[in-house]
Amino acid sequence: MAKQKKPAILQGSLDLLVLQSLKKGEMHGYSITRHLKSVSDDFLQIEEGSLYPALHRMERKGWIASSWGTSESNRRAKFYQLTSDGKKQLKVETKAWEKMSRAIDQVVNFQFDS
Amino acid sequence: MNFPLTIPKFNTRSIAAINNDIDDELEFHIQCRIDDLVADGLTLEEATEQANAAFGSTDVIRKQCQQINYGAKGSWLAL
Repeated sequence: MAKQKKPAILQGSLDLLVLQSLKKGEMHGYSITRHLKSVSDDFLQIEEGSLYPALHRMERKGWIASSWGTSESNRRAKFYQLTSDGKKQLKVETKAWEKMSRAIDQVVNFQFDS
Repeated sequence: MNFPLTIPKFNTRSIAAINNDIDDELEFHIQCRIDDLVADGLTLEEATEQANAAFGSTDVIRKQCQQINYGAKGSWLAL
């Protein structure tokens, strides 16, 4: 049987997914990947390490802030939370996603003249 | 002439401290994945292999994070 390919995150949508996940409250990186898998019924599976450059980049941009704390498994963990700039960016990303989604729908549902 | 509207944030932490934090963060993730896989019934060896495969190249990811934190456009104050 052919090996099932992992569904890829659409280019540019990782930021939206991370910002949206953090809307619920602060999380460490592993919780974010677990949340994305769980909420999407296992459909969204990112190459897990690729999350971290994205988190660091978003923190440099001021969209998220980090602090070190203790995880549920009693280990030192870095937690992230949305900043006020991050909340604004989430609105921007969400609108952009909705526009793209509508455009794709239009193409997919286009009826060619028979 | 356009003036910058914001002053760039300068990182006052040492490169060694930043590197330690990056390593700790990546290691934490992999350990959590190992724990979950062992809880699902894998042996420690199988879980470690799968966790590392799922994570991707730690060296590449570490370098990317370092670049973001103190790369070419990073702080000249990073010691």
